[in-house]
Amino acid sequence: MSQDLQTRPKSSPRPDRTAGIKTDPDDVRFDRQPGEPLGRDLLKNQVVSAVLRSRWYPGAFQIPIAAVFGLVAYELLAGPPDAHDNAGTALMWVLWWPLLPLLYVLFGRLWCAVCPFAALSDFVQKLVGVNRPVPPFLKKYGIWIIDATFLAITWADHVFGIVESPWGSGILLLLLTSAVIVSGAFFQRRTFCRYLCFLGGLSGNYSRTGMLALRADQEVCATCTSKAACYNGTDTVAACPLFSFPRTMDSSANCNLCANCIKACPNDAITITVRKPTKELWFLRTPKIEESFLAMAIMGVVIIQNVTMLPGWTDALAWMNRTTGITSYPVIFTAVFAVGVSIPVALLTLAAKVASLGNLESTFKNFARFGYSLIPLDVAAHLAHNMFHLLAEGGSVISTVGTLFGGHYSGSPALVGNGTIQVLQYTFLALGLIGSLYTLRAITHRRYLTPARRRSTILPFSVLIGILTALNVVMFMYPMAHRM
Amino acid sequence: MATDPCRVGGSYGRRNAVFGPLMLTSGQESSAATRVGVAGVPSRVGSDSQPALASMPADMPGMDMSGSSGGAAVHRPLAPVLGTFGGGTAVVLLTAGMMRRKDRTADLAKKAARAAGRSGK
Repeated sequence: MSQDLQTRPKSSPRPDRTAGIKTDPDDVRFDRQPGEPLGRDLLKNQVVSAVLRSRWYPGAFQIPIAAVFGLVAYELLAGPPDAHDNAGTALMWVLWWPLLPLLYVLFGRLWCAVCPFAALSDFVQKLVGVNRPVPPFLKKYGIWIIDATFLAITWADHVFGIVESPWGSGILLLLLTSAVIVSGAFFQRRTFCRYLCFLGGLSGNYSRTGMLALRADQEVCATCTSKAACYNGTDTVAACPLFSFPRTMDSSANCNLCANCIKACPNDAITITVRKPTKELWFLRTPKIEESFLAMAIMGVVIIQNVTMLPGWTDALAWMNRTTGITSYPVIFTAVFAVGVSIPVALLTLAAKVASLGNLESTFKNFARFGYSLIPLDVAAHLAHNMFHLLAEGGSVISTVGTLFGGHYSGSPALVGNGTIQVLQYTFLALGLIGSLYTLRAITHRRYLTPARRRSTILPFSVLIGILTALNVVMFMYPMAHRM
Repeated sequence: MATDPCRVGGSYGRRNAVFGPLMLTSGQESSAATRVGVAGVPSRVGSDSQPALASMPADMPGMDMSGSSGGAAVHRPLAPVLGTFGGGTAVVLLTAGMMRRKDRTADLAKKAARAAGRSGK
C-alpha cells in the first residue's frame, strides 16, 4: 500500500482508485461522455473532394512553396548581409512567421502538409530511406524535446540575434534541414515532423483551436476489412506521415490534412468538418502534462518577447548591469528568460494546487488538464504580438522582394495605422480571453458533475486566465521599442 | 514565437514606437537610445547590430535603419558552412543508402531461404 493511502484519514472524500474500479461518479460519467460531435462534411462538396483526392494534392502547393523556400534560403545565406535589405529575412520573419498562428486557427496543421521540410523528408526517404521505426525514447519524450528545442531556439535568438541576422536565420535553416535529412534517411514516415519539429509542437497545440477537423466515421470503420489502409497506406497512397490512425483520432494535433487517408480509405469513411474555434479543447479526454507545459512555455515566451520590446527593457538591462556587475548579456538574458518562462508555469502550478484542494484531483492532473484551457489565450497573445510585425513592418516584404526583381518601393513599412493594429491586438486578446474562459468552463463541466467541484476548479484557473490577459493587455499598451 | 521579427534590421521602436498612451516623441526615443549606448548595456553575442544612434535616418524604405548594422562588416563563412553541410549530408545519404542496400540484400536472402524451404518440403 502506498504511503499516500496509509496516511490518508479514513474519512477522506478522495475517491479510491486502487482497485481499478471507478467509484467516483464523476469518473464514471466522464468515461461515458460522447466525444466531439462532427459537423457538416466538407468532402461532400465536389470541389473540395476533388482537390483533396487529386494526386496533385498537396504536391501542387509544395512545389511553389519549396521554390520560395529556396529563394529565402539563398537570400539568407548569400543575399544582402543587412536584414533591412534582405528579402529572405522579410519573407521569413515579417510575412511567414506572423501568419502561421492564423493559419493554424483557420486550417489546423495544413501548413505541415505543404511545408518544404516535409517534402524534403519524403524525397530523402524515397532516395535512400532505411525506414527504421521511431525510437521509443522519441515516442516517450518527443514533446519534451520539442519543448526544450522551442525554448532553446527562442533563447538563442535573443542571445545570438537569429532574426536580425540573415546569416543567423540561414544557419538555423541549415540546421533544421540537416535534422530533416537525417530523420528522413533513417526513420519511418515524417518522424521529424511528428516528434522533433519545434514548430510541429507549436502547431499541434494551436491546431486544437483550429476550425478544420479530420475524423473517421466510427460505424463505417467498425466494418472495415482493409487492415488500416488509412494508417498504413496502400500500393498507390503513402501511409499517414504523422502516425495518426483516423479511426481512433480525437484530436487535430497530429493531422496535417495531407489527405492520404482520404485517398486510401476504401469505404469513404473519412470526413473533414468545420467547427467552432477551440471546440476540440472542450472535449478534452486525455490531457498530457507536456502539452500543458508547452502551452505555458509559449505564454512565457510571448511575455518575454513583449517585455524585450518595451522601452524599459534597456533600462532594466542597464540596471541589472549596475546592480549585479554582470556585463554578459547572455547571462543576464538567460536569468530573465528562465524567470519569464517560469512565471506562467508557476502560476498554473499554483492554480492547479488551489483547484486540487476543492476538486479532489491531484495538482499534477489539474496542471495537465487545465493547462489546455490557456491555449486559446496563447494563440491570441501570439497573434496579437505577430500582427504588429505583419502590419507595421509588412511593407518591408514589398520593398525587399521588389528590389530583388528590380522594383523600387519607398513607402512606409507600415501597412495600416498603429491605432488599427492596436484595435486588432485587443480584439485578439478579447477573443482569446473568451475562448479560454469558455474552454475552462466546458472542460470543467464535462469533467465534474458536482457544483462544488466545478466552482473550486473554475475559480483559480479563471483568476490565472485573468492575470495573464491583463499582463498582455498592459504590455500592448506600451510603445514597443527596440532594446538596443 | 521562438524568434522575434521585431528586431528585423534593428527596426523596432524608433518609428514604430507610437503604441498606446505612452507615445514617445522622437526626442525621447533618441534620448533613450543614446542613454542605452552610454549605459553600456551588454549586447548580444555575435549580433550584427550596433547601439541605436539618434542621427540615423528614420525614413529609409522598408524598415527603420536605426539600430541596424549600419555597414558593419559581417563575417559570413559561406564556403566552410556549406561545405560542412554538404559533406554531412553526403555522409548521411551514403550511410543510409548502404544500410538500405544491406537491408534489401538480407530481405532477398530471407525470401530465397523461405522459398527454398518450401520447395524442399
